[in-house]
Amino acid sequence: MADPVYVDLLAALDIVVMERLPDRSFRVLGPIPSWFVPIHTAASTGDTPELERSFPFLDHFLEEAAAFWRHPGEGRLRSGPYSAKDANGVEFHFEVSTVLADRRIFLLFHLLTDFEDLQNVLQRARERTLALQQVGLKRAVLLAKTTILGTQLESLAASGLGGEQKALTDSMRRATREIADMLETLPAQK
Amino acid sequence: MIQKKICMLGGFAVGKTSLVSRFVSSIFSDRYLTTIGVKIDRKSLVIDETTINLVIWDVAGEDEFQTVQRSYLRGSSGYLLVADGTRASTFETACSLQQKAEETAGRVPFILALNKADLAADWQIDARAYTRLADQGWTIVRTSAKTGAGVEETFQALTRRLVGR
Repeated sequence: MADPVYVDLLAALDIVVMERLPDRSFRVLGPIPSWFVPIHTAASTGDTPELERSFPFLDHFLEEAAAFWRHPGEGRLRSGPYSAKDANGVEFHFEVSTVLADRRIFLLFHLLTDFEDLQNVLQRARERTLALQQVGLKRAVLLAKTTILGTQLESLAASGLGGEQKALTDSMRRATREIADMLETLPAQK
Repeated sequence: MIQKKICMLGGFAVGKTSLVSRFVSSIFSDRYLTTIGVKIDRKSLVIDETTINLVIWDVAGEDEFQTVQRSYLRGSSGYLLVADGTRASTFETACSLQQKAEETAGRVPFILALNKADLAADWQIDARAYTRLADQGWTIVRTSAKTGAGVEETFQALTRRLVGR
């Protein structure tokens, strides 16, 4: 991290690097990617005393980070995806993580450039789940109706119908059972 | 000035983000766009001449693809449980999230919002289920992020309880 080339490289990868100072403030290292500036204008001056105020999420993450710094393992602590709006109402998606290197604490803000891809995948999966839930609901309703229809046809069949009428009723009973059997193969409501 | 953190909790596609948009920005979109991770919005309310800054954590819905990170609940002064009135399973999800929330955030004020009240004809949640909870002291409201019905009142009511008014 001491080599500025690495910091420039991280900025090119849409990662903002900050180092935690002894007074618990954060110092931005290297260039600030353009996406970060509108979200936190103070970062443009390299002064970050108001970091937690710009990012309420950070307050929460820093609590977890404090425990991580006291008992550092390997790797880094990650926040998970977080969405925020800049002053113009444009939404950004990023993740915060913290790492320890050479007994120095660093905070990294990663712009999640593949956020929309992930969102599309989850979106499709959830829409599919919703559709299946609707199928299950309609299955239950239709099964109930076929049960009622079957019962009514049973009653009709037992009411002393003549030849043609009985044959028609029997045909309808068979069709009702087939419909019920087909409905049983659909996914049930969860 | 008082600042309070509240969380929006519930299954996926129940309308958490829509409720926040309605409350914060008075807007609604029919388009469902799934939330990933967490989004944070702010709104100020005036309760009995005191300004309360609400920091609203809109947490991604609970399902087989994502579970609610308990750490998000830490430091919450209260939360809004949201269920979709047209999907009975979301009511159970809300109830199980309430337990999770209580374990993490403690016994803080919460309200259960049965959302999508504008789709009353398609309502699937059994009234007996939530009547039982109401008898146990739960505050249960019907909301519609689409029409705005009950939204402002719900956030106002929760905020009042957060500040003990």
